This record gives sequence, C-alpha cells and structure tokens, in this order.
Amino acid sequence: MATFAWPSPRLGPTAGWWFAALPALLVLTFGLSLVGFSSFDLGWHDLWTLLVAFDADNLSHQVLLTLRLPRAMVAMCVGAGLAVAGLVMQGMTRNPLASPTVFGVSSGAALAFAVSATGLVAWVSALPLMLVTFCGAGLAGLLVFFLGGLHRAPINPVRIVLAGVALNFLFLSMTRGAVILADENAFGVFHWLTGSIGNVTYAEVRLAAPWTVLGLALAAWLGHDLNLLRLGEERMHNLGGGLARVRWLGSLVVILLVAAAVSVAGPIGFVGLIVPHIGRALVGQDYRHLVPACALAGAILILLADTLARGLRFPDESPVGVVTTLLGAGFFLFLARRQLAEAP
Amino acid sequence: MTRRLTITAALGLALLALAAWHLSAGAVSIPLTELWQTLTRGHADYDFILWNYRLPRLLIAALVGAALALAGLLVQGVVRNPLASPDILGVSGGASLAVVALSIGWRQAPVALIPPVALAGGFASLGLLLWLARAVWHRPAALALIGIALSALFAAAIDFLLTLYPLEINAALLWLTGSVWGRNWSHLPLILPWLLALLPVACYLAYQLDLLTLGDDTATSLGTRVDRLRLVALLTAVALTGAAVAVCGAIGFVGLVAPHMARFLAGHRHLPLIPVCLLLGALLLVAADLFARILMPPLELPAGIVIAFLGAPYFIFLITRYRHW
Repeated sequence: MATFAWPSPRLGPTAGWWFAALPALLVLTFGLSLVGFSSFDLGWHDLWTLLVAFDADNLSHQVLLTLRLPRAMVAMCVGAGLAVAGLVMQGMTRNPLASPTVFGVSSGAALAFAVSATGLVAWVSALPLMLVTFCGAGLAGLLVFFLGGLHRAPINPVRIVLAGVALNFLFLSMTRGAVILADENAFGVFHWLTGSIGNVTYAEVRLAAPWTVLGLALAAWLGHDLNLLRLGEERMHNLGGGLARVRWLGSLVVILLVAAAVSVAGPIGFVGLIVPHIGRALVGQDYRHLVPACALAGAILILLADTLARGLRFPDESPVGVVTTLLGAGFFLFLARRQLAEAP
Repeated sequence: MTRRLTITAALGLALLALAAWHLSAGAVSIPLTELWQTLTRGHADYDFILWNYRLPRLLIAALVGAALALAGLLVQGVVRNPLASPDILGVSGGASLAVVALSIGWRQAPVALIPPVALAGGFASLGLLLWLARAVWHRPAALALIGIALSALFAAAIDFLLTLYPLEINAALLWLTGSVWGRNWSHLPLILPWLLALLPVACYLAYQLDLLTLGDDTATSLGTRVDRLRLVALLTAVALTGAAVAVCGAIGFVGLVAPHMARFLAGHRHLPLIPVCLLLGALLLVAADLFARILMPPLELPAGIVIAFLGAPYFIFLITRYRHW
C-alpha cells in the first residue's frame, strides 16, 4: 500500500517563500497593468503621484482611476475566480484535466449570457444577468456531471473530458448562432467569445466582486474536505467526510465563480486549467494552501495576459482570452499526454 | 443484398427530394412545378437564381458532405475506433490553420492554391497526431483525447492569427464555422476532381478494410500489408478532408455521424457501405444548409452550426454508450 504523507498545516520552506512572493508579484503586475501599453502617456511616476498627491485635474490620474483601475480590478476578480473554480473542479473530480473551459461550464454560462444580452428570449433578458449566467453554468455543470458518469463510483477521467469537450462545442455553436442572429458584427462576436475585459467599468466590478469573494471564501472553507477527497471517495467516507456535501458545495462554488467571471469578461479560456498546476508546483498538495495560492496566481496571470494582449496590436485592443487560450491549449495537450501515460 | 440496394435507392430518392426542396426554398421561392421547367427549358424569372446561386450551392454541399463522410468511414475503419473522425482527430483544424495562415500571409493567393495548402496542413497535423499519440495508438478514447487537445491548440492558433490581423476576420470567421454560403461554380473544381479520383481508391481499399476488422494478425495472415493499408487509407481520408475544408471550412461531425448511420443501415462490409455513406453525408449537409437558410429568413446561419446541433449530442450519446474504457 502506498504511504500517504498527511499534509502538514504548516508550510514548507519553499511554499512559505512563495506565499511571501506571490502578493509582492501581484502588486507589481497590478501596477504594470495600470500603466503598461496605454494610448495616453502613462508611467510609474503617474502612479506614484496618484498615491501621494492626488490631483483631480490631472489627466493621467483621471485615466488611471476611471479606465485602468476598474479594468485591473475586474482582471483580478476574473483570474482569481476562474483559477479557484478550476482548482475545486480538479479536486472534486480528481482529474488533472478538469477546468471550466474543458468541461463546458464556461461556455454554458456564455450561452446564457448571449441569450440574455441579444434579447432573443424576452423574459430571459428581464432577469438579472448574474442569475441567468448562474443558471447557464449550473445547467452545463449538471449535464457534464451526468454525461461524464460522475454519479457512478469510479469516474473515468477520459470519458468526462470527452463529454465536456462535446458539450463545450455544442454550447459554442449555439452561442455563435445566437449572436449571428442578433447582430452580424463578426468583430464584436469574436472579441466577446474569446473573452475580453477591454471596456469594463465600475459597474462590472460591483457585479463580479461580491460573488467572487463569496465563492473564494466558500472554497477556502472546503479546503479540508477536498484534502480528504484526495485520498479517494471510499477512504474519505471512512474518515467521516461528507462526500455529498463537498460535491454540492464544490459545485456551487464552481458555478458561482464561473458565472461571475463570464458575466463581466466572457469565457476566458483555460485559466482554470493552468493555474492549479502552477499552484501545486509552488505550494504543494494541501488544498488549504492551494486555494489562496491559486487565487493570487490566477489574478497575476490575467493581469499579465491582459497587459500582453494590449501590447499585441498596440494601440488597438486585443481580447485577453487569445493569450490565455494559446497558452492553455498547449498546456492541455501536454497534460492530456501525461495523464494518458500515467493511466494504464 | 436486396436490402442494401433498397436502402441505397431510398437514400438516393430522399436526396433528390431534399435537393428539390433546397432548390425551391429561399428568398425567392421557386414553385416545385416551375422547377423542372426551369431546369430543362429555362424560365425568364428563375433562370439566373437557379443556375448561379442555388444549383452550385446544392452541388457543393452534397459533394462536401459526401467527401467528409467517406473520410470518416476510412478513418474509423483504419483506427477501428468509433470515436474517430477527421475533425475529432484534429485534421480539419490543421487544414483550417494552414488556410488561414495562407490567406493572411499572401493576400492575393490564387484560389487553386487553397486545396494543396489545406492538404499540407492536414497531413502535417496527422503526422503530429501520430507522433504525439504513438504510445496510445490502440486506445480509442485516448487517441480521441489527444486529437481533441490538438484541435484546441489549432483553434487557439487561428484565434491568435485573427487577432493579429483583424481585417480578414469577417470572411475567415464565416468560413471557419463551415458555411456553404456564397459558393459558386468556381469552387466546384476544388472538390469534384478530388472526390472522383479518391473514390476508386476507397473502393479498392474496401475489401482490405473488411479484413482489418478481424484484427491486425488475422488480416496479416490473410495477405494484407497492414501498415501500408493504414497509411494509404489515412492519406486518402486526409486528402478528402483537406479538399472539403478548402471549399467549406471545417464542418464538424459529418465524418463522425454519417459512417455510424451507414453501418446501422447497411451492415459492416465496406464496399456496400461506401455508396450509403456518400449519400448520407450528402443528405446531412444539404439538409443542414437548407435549414440554415430557411429557419430564420432573411438571416442565414452557417451550416456548420446546424450540423453541430445534430452531431454534438450524437457524440455524447456515443460516449455514454461506449464501454471499453
């Protein structure tokens, strides 16, 4: 029998070092995303003077406050939310390939958003946006849950991925159809479907932030249960963990976080796949440490990707999803091969 | 035998009926009674519409559907994998990426260059897949997973190119979802010769593919050169897919669904399967194009989206029924 090292609540030396480094990195990338690649002439000194001597008449200060700050805040919300959603999904399914993008949860939420925003169905448009995307993500999650055979005891990792990919494709086609029917502006469709935070305001921050914070808190609270689940469903049961509880709450967390992220930014791809693996490399396997580490790393990743996307075709905007998708699809291929090599 | 003939004849009749509907429906509705007259003796009002818009579009949809279905049949026969098809294995994605790269890199590229480039992209992606999946070649679900991951990578690369060069985005996006819209007689030479040339190859391979279903060892002892057969059949399938992608973009799921339906109707021997499969592929794509046009006039959906409504649930059904994990 393989021995299992119970994760210590204390951090190892490297993990502790990373927990100091991640917030510092976050502050650095936050600043970079505020001043980098701007059509206005912004620099670090503008940021400094904004902090120490705010001047309401200063154009740079106004640009930073009204355009850049909400964008960076949305980026952090979305990054942290998607990363932790991916982490919880990977923990719940014990499948390293799980993520909102691969399992079609993001595209389910995106379809709901598209139906609501295009006004194809009148009564859907009348409902609050967050509720609609929440239902979309929930429906997609439920479908993939049953199609992947998650309700049966042994979960086949490849089966659930294939089911998720097919659902993802179906939702994507339906979203495309809905958007084509409503509006033939291919450029806008493309930008939205790839996931973009190019023109967000404080309204989007107010929409996403409370739900994201709630989801992150719930995920942190689930950390111990996810640690138990890592031992396997049966052993978790023997140790007194509630399997049903962790699955229901975990699903709720995932759906909340994905719905919040998609409502403001569209389906930004593969963040939830990449970041948990980075998190494990940095701080180890303990979910109580992984949740905060992934939230930080996800925020850093989106901030960096958004800054990079702005620079791709400067001074025009590019959707942030393009950068993460290109990174993530390659990583998906790498993981799929490794997963198959390990499984007999 | 008679059952297969009956099925083939019934499918042919169904295709004819659907074709008549396809020709008559649209922004200008041509009554079925006038249709025959227009085709044979000409008609002042409908001549132009029929000969310049509807007929080439119908032919291209039918030919592309047939080519994709045949490619799917060959791939499933060789890989002996019910989840395999050119689009799931990433061949369509590779061909699309090559064509997008060509149209961005060389704006005035002659249209005759598109099929070879799509073909080259298809071959390259097949080679990449075989190299990446060399360890899991015999596990159907694993091969499908690698293929899907590869497709995701190609799709991401296409998105990236479209972001960098947004001027081409309108045409490319419509083309990428798989559409028969705006295709005319000039597109016919891009697909018809390929289908005519490769159909005999497929028929020639049919008997050997039957032997291959008995297993590699049995097929070898019965005189089949298994490795050569695999290579030739896969190359043929990729060529068919490349030609289809060159005309209509990546239309998913026809290559997956049509061979399954054909096997359900006509058994597992490949030679009688080929005509049934061709007809079913043509039927699927013509029907998809028809519904794409008449569901919400005057708007047109890309036919690829309509196919996805049928194909994605079917793929999911296959996964839930598949037992050999």
